[in-house]
Amino acid sequence: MAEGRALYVGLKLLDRQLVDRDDKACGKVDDLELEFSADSGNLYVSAILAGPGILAYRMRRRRWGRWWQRVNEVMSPTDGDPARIPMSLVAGIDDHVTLGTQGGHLGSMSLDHWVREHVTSHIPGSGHEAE
Amino acid sequence: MKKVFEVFLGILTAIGGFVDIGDLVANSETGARFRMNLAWVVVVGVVGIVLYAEMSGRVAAVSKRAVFDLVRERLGPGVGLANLIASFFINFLTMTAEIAGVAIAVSLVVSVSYIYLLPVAGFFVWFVIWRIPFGAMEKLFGLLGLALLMFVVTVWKLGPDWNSVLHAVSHPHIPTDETPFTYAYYGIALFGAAMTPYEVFFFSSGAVEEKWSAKDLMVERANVFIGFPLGGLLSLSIMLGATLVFAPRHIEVGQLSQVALPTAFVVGKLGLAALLLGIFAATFGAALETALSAGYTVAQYFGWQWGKHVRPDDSPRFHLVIIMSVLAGVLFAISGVDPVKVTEYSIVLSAAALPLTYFPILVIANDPDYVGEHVNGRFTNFLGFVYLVILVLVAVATIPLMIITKGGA
Amino acid sequence: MRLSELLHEPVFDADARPIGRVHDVRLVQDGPLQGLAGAAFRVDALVVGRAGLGTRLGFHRHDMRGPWPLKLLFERLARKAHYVEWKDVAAWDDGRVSLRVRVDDLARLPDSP
Repeated sequence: MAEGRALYVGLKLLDRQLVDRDDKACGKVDDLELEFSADSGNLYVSAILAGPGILAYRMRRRRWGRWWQRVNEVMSPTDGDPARIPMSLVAGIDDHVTLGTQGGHLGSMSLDHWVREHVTSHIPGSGHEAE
Repeated sequence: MKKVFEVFLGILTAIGGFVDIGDLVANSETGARFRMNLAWVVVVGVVGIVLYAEMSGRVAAVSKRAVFDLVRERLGPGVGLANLIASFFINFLTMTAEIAGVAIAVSLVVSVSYIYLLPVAGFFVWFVIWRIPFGAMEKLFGLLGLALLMFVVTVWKLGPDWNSVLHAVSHPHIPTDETPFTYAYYGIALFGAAMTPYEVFFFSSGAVEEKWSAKDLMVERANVFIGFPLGGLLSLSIMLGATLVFAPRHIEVGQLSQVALPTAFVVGKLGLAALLLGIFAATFGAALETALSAGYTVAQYFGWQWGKHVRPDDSPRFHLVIIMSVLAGVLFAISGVDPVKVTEYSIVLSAAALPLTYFPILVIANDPDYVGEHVNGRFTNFLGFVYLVILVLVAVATIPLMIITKGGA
Repeated sequence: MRLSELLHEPVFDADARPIGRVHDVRLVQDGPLQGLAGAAFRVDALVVGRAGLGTRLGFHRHDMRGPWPLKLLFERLARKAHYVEWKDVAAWDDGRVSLRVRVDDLARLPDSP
């Protein structure tokens, strides 16, 4: 049986930059969700986790991490876990992880929206085109 | 022809942008106390920054990623976070000192206490970051910083015996009224002033901001190999000026305004005006770089969109970090802390934290996954390793020396 | 379940001897198709060892360069790591990973990913 692509999570996936379809940075791969398959019993990576609290949880600050995650969930407009990026949305893994979707609704971007709405958009020139 | 002009401009910008308040204070203070006996440290420091700036610039140009972006990826989030906290804190101290330097430079011209000018300085630093394009910002302040060449003019006019100067530089000894501990402490301060970490964060992030690629490596190397050493010579002229004017009179440098005295003495009002313009440009430029570095380091660790090459609307958290840092820095400076003391602490602590910054760069510059065929050559690795050892020794010695000498008293 | 709950977990062999902690996880992309990414990534093996720095820095890859003292040090550390195939994992619970095999039967880290 031909083997598919192989990689080490620590070297190639974890802590890598997430980039959306429009080349915008939307956080880093803070953690991965693993699921056992009912049929084969194999353990698969089901989702990328990125957003407030995920990294804290990974670095053993579990309560702080869970609190942050819950705050993010409450503040997030979408249903479900905002920090969860299903692997089906991943378009490519090389230098960074490219997503096939726009990053605006991701959990890792929720604070971005808040800061934009409440702080930077009130300062003249915030929409000024980059050079 | 256009390429030659680009290289020339880059070198000039690098020279004018090399000196910041850390170099001004460190070189003046050591020149006044130790004459030219610590000049060799500046040389060692300049070689070090050239080496590591080239590496981080190469990594940024080829991998399109900035240093702090890669620190978390390669060393892990735990080490990356420790690095972030230490670097951010030291960078904050440096930024505060630079903003104070801007206020002081202006206060020497308008005769208003620099404390009142601090909010104004902070506002303009933020405003330039918010609105002025990156390339224009760098070139403007880099070129204006060339007015610091007044230090060279000053030294030339003082007309020292160049043979004895060369002899003093090449035969360093500890002055009789100093101890080996203060000698080492000030050596470390000079070293930290030459090899400031923010220089590397800014240089590599700037490479990404200006969208460098492997084709730009030649220009990058010219800036670094020619511009930085010439900037180092500028530092040495500050030290020599202090040696010739302050040391014989046993004057110690404790205020930034004293840095301009040799020039006022020797070249007169016009020279002084030019020098103050240079000091203003150098500190303002460095304030921009450190404020931006505050944003770069945090945003790159967490993977937020960062940079002046995108609209503020697209990088709100990056800009919020910068705004809050500048605000906090201004408030800290207004609280009445001695700007020279803050400068001293920032360069000494920079020296203590150097291995944190440079070890990842040395590893990444060797990784074909990031730099492809542009990995370090054997000589670069040899030098890089030697410097890593030096940096670790310096880091280990810093805090004990700080305690023993009571902060260089 | 999260990857972070697997990383750094202590690993014990069939004789309940501690052999280190999980430093890295090898994935192979040969699972069922999952949208844009193609096949799903399956957990294939664990990298287990005492000090993780060598593997973390990537010095076990043969194309990794560096000043020879650093290479020497980190390659030594990396080579001490064990390579545990996922099929040899008996259980993962209670904050530990237990293996079906004994430490002497474990392979060392292979060169390529």
